[in-house]
Amino acid sequence: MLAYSQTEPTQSNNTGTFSGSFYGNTNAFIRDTKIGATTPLYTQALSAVEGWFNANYNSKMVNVSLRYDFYHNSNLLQPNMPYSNSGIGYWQINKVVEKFDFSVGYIYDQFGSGSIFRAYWEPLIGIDNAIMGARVIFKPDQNLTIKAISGKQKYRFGSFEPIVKGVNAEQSLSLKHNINTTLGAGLLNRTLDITTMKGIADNINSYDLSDRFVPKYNEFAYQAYATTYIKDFTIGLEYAKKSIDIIQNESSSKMVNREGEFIQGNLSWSHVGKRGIGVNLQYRKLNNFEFRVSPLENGLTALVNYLPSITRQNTYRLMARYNAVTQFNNEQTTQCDITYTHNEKNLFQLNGSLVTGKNNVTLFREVYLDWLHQYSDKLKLLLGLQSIQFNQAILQGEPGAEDVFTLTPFSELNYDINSKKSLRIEAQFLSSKQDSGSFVNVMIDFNIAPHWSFSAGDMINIIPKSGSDKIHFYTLFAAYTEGPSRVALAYVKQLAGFNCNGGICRFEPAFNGVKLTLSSTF
Amino acid sequence: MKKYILILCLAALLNACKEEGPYIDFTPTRIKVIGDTDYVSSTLAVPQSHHVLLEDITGVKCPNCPASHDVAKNISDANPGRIVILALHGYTNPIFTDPGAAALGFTDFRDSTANYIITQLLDNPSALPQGGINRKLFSGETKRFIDYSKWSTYIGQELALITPVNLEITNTYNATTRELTSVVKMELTQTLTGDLYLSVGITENNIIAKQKDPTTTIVNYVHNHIFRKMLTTEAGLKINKAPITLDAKQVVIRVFKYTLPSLPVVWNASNCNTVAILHDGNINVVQCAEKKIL
Repeated sequence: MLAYSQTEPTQSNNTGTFSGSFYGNTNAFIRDTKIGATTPLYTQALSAVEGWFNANYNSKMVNVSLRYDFYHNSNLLQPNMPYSNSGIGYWQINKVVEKFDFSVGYIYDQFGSGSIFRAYWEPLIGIDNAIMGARVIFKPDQNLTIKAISGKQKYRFGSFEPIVKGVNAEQSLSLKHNINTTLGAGLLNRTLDITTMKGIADNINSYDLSDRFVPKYNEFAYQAYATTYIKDFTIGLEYAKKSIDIIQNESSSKMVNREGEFIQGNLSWSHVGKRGIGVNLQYRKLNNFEFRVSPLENGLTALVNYLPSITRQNTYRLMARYNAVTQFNNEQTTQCDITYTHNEKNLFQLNGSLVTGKNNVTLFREVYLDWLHQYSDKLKLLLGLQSIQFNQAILQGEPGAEDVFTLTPFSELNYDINSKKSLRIEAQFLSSKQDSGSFVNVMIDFNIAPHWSFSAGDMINIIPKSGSDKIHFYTLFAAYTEGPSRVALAYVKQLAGFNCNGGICRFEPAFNGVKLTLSSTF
Repeated sequence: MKKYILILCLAALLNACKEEGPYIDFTPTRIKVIGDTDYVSSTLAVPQSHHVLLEDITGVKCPNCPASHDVAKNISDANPGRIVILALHGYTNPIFTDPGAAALGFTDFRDSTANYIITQLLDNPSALPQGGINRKLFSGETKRFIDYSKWSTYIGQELALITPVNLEITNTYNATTRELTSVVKMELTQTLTGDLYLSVGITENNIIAKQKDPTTTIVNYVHNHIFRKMLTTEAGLKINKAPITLDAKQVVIRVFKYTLPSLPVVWNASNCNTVAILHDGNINVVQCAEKKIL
């Protein structure tokens, strides 16, 4: 969760409450030709300011929210180029009338898991695909929720022209023998506007005759899902289908007209006793399931649905270097996650995942194992090993690149020096003969509660590929927290790579510079 | 139960009738017909007079359509040889276009290509008569179809333009086999940018058939310029395909062969015309021509 998330309101009176948050960040870009930090951000803009101020007023009469966004030479929305604009990035008026809930303005919401629709804000990877329009939620009883939404998808400070309309219903049921289930269904319709369709038709008319097709203005996607709880088991199933729609082909060189399909299932079992164990099995298949308000867009832009990678989300710097970026149009993922608590002092985790693509080509494979041992109330040690196979040609869009194989032992030590001071040390060694070679990363955090946090680290390509220099990627960080406000100053140098948030990844260029961040909630 | 009916209603609202997609050109790569040729002329041709295409969107049960036919004829008579008229009978506005049961005696002139031109190229009017002038969206208008009271004004504007392409048709007809050979010659008198498309079709005059007017049904009404057949696809044959450019002096000759049908009705070759239309990538007509088959 981001630091600027809303907290309990700090002001209230008889008529309502006022709450909000502020986030502001300044970047100073320092050119570094060795790592490729040479975009116009480093040669022209040199510095940037970005952030937002969010204010909410909630009362029995009405709920009103507003967010002012500002981007001045910012690289948040387009990582390679400075972007400047500011204005109202979000507003909403909401009123609850008995069993109905009405909202107009910008809407963030999702149907079920988001497989056919999710409108959300993830600013640190440039996602803000709110629906500008209206939503009605109807709750005839506590077990049934029906929602309907209609509008245009937001794009920066404007919107895409196509229209999105949808309806979703969820019913909770309590059956015999302690069996509970939630059933859901959704339907979404996207209608292209004439200008967007003209652009599509112009493209299609430029193709070879055999590749041409008549595109449709209207796209329909529907989903049905069920989650059932039976004692220690949880079973989840979801199926979604898209009517024939315009998507990019495998090489993103042409648009094609295809139906799409989504299948997902998961089975969990957990047992808590003297020794605890939890097992989670997941499977997902995506077939031509790219769904955008405008098929002319690409990347993370204009996506209507939410299809995060379901592989393990790693947080350590080197272990998160290679990610299973979702392949919307052809992907099968299988994952198994096992957690075993031997006793209060020893906890084990095992994870394995396999992602395959067209013709069963392996896109991503990960095996992960860790052991957490608590020596005392003050001292914890985590040891583990991760192995990855990463299809760089497809997942990173680098044709001809060989698969990357990594083996990464890692550890983390947490030590509470006293009631105020704590120390955390993490270290990883990524061994690879491909891509940029092998790396070591060490990071030390030192916290003095409740105000100060310090961090220092270095990542180095300790065994570079032949012809490359050894480069240190230093990180220095200091933050001061005063109540709900925090000021952080950091020097960051990082390689080009994926920046992932919640399983959604964006490839970003190398960064070298200083960041000053101020955040506060009220 | 009511709540589930509500969900079904909401879902049903999202679905609707079958839609019509945008224009996609499925014209097969044209196999060269004997006589097809292209070359660059050594001299720049003098522009011929600019002709105007008037597409009269009409119907046999449209009471006001005879009035629009008269307007079209008057304009044509005032500008001999410079107005190319297509009488388009489509499937939309069935109250005006559907001939109804055979017993009623109306002739069915409706044609799918005419319907395509009406709905896709002329913005599909909801009432008749209307007409397209060179398929253009004129300043002050919101649609490409125009009320017949304004035809004369807009046609006058178009006639004053200088054509960038000379367009000529030469017809040869074999009365025994009923095979028509139309040779269409295009010669650029100035350099054009964008794309250029050629449509070639056949119209027929002097068809005696029923037509409604405001007061009665005229049994022996003379129908002229009835659109019969497009020899290219609806949206035309792309001319500027390599190595052909749209530079001045470029000459392109295309030959079209078609056997006039005898079924279900005999087309009277003596009353038929070949029509050629050149339009740009924005479907605006830049020149057109008409030539009697016999």
